[in-house]
Amino acid sequence: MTNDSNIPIYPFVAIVGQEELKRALTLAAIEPAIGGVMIMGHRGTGKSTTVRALAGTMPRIAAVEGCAFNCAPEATAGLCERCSDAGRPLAATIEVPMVDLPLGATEDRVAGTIDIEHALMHGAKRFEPGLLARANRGFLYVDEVNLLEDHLVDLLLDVAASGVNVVEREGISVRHPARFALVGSGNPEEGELRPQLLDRFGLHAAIETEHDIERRVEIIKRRMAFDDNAAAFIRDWQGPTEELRERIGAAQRCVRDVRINDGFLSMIAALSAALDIDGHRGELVMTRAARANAALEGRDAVTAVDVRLVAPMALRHRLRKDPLEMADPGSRIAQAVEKIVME
Amino acid sequence: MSTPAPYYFPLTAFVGYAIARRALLCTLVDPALRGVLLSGPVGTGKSELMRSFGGFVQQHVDPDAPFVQVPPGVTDDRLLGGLDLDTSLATGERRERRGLLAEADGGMLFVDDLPLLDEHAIASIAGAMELGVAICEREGLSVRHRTRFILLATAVPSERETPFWLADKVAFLVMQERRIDADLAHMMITRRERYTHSPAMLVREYQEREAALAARVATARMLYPFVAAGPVVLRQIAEASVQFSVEGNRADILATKAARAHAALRGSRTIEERDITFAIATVLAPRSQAVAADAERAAHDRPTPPTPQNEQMAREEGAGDAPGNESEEQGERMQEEPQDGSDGGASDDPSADSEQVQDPLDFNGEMPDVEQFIDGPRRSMTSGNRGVRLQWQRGRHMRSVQTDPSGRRIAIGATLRAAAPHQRTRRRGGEERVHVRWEDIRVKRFSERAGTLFIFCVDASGSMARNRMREAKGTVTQLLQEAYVNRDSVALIAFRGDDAELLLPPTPSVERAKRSLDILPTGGGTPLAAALTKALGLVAAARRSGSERALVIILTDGRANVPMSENAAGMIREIRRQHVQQEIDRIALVYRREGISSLVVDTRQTYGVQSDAVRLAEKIGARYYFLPRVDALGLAAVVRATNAGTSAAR
Repeated sequence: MTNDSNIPIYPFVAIVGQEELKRALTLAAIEPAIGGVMIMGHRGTGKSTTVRALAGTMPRIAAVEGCAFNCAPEATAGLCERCSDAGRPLAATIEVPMVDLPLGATEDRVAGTIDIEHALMHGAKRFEPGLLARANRGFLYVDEVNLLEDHLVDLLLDVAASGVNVVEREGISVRHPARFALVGSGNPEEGELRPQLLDRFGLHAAIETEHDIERRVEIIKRRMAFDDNAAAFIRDWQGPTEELRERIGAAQRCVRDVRINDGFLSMIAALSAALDIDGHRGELVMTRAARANAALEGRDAVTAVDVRLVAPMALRHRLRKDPLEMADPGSRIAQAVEKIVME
Repeated sequence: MSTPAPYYFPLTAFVGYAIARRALLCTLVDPALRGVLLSGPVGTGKSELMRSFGGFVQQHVDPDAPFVQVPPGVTDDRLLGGLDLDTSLATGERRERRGLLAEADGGMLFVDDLPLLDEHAIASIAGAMELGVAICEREGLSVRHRTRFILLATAVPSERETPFWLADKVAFLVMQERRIDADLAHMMITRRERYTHSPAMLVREYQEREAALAARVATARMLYPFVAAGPVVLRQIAEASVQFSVEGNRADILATKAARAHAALRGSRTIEERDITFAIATVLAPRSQAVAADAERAAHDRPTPPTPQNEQMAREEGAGDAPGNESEEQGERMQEEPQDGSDGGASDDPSADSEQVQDPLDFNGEMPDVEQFIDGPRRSMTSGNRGVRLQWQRGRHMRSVQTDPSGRRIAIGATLRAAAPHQRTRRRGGEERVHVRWEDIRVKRFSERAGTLFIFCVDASGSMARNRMREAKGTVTQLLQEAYVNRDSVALIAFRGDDAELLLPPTPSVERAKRSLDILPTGGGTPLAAALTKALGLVAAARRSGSERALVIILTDGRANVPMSENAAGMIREIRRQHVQQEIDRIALVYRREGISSLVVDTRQTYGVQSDAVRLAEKIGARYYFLPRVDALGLAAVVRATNAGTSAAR
């Protein structure tokens, strides 16, 4: 996270279990085009701990120094006004932005608004960037996303789709890049999510309580160690953290070169059809996620293993809901995968 | 903000609440335990206990610790902080007014009656606890404050569900301990009276005991890092957690810390059975999902909790191993303590004054009765009833709009932003003040919860009951599938036998509805009156909490409320029947007076002019539908149409 609070963050690699969640986040970090991750599951299972830990394991990025939108120094498109006008002399490396969107935020702070102090002092209008600007090129995290106010959801949907934030308020007229992966977490018992918002998330990780006693004991042990001495704990996990960071970096560099042959593409399409899924976003996401997974595993082509792994995450939230179905939709997907992919 | 009160009712003078007080003290030993949610009926001294604890901390433990109370109608700008209007206007600079969350840093945040708090306020508190940071992204301000506080919350069991996702962040979920007996109550009242008349005297009297308790806390804080939680302890806790089907793994961590803190308060460096028992009873057992999910089954054969034998062990161990900092008087009292009196500080010497009663805070003495906690407190948290109180002008400030501000709340930030660019032209030479004109004024637009609370009252008696229940369940899930559009929520009451049971407390969640409605009790008589009363309670709670609309849907075949038969009991039944009718008439009056929207769905097989269902509809002013073959989709359509009709009529 943008560590403006200096609160130690539990290392990503030290999280016990929750493999699907960790995998989904890692894939989203490798290939931003996947479009974010939705995490639904029980209370107290480490959802937000895991999300907040993610940024710390990602390779740092270069950004124009002092740019409120974290513009990339070498980029030619998708820049903020200032960066596209002027030369961009100074570059700095920053941690990938992980911006918390608190539920109590007001619209003007999310989208950005007039800088009131500047206006009062100088009588001139100046745009003051909001959270969407800060999240550019990183992640926007909404905990308890199913409680987010509708008007903020509308705003997010709009910006997430276009990658541009357009502000027309209080006599200010600004557009700036706002490309971010949306990460949302919540407990399904707190309420349902609007389908449009659900669809906006590339992957949907289901998360469950760890039941294995040994693992539970391990969870307590590590957490106690972290709480007793965070600095030492983080140091102890430095090695594995660096290792993962390098793997993600390597995968980021080669993900666009990973091949996927037509056989797998038609398999993905068949899977969507078999599960009666509307629209094609699911297929697109599945393809991207499969490539990212292959890249993470150091392969240069997608295999059946990749498709099988990412299918439940990519499709779970796109299935039609059956009011009386009790079982996790994941098992329905797994069955379809076995039938189609594994033949 | 809080300045330490000169006097507070001494924590050691409290009668009862043995477990709650221990839990509170544990949070002082390790603040990572995060707090205590104390749940119990009104008028049992929950808030007093919390205030008294706050006083104890400020007077004896940490004079700088703030004690910040969150009022039920708290607005986001008070909770999270916002623009300080006075200073901003005076200086022309943007000044922040700190929110309650930031103010509570290093101290305590007190929420009296947590379930009454607005959903967003709860989310904000939970967020701050999770992050350790209070984030204010409002009204042109973007500030963060580190904040660590102990959450002290109370809840009255009511129709409104305790927000467990906030409650889950605190370690201790303590239910009201068994009713204290009359003698103890007497003692409590006497002490309170004395305190009212002369606080100074009572405070002086307990001064020493309070100081001793503070010393105990101080010792425990030093010991705490050395209390080792070995693999055996961790295993025991993890196993208990699995046994209780506790959701998530956070509880395991909190329980381990609770056991450690309890051991430290005993003055011991080793965790014993009694520490684990305490942790299980206060942290794990109240989170049991087994109880919530299959309440019915659990009532008959619930998994044997691991506690009783532990408790037994604790008892056998007697006085414990580390009397180190035990005050002498406590030691004496232990001698006098009856062997079997384990009821939260109960004494069987009624004439006893404080001095002769077992001190519930004697950590090495007898363990208070904790078994009662293991009996599904979650369930009991959702029953009870309270009077109707209507509130207006609530809801959440969503955005600010330019409109006629008369009678509305002005959005300060937005107004200033609108005025700001014009200050240059409006100010006259060297003037500092900000000129705000009429056209700058923005008012807050509040989001009314557009959603409707659908309350289903389903007649679960008679031959077609099973069918009715099944379709009602289908309708419930059907309506909830669309709930995201309208923010609707649904509750379901089944009536049969002697009582009406709230099977599904108001919820917007399909998941929860499915889980709760797995049990479909059927058979028996028809206590319609009880169901109508329960529904009334839900409507009242919904109205109290905001602007939620409610629709009561009654599914019945309208048969007589008590089965008629020719046997000797017939006469009595006839009398009872009349009695029941009178009861319904009384409730019907309330329905009409309060203007409660309702719908009677008649599921008889054949249509007749005068049925009980028709009469019922007339009485309570309900719409009436004859729907002999109920099916979920059809019913959902009828309910929606009725809802649209009644809301349009407003």
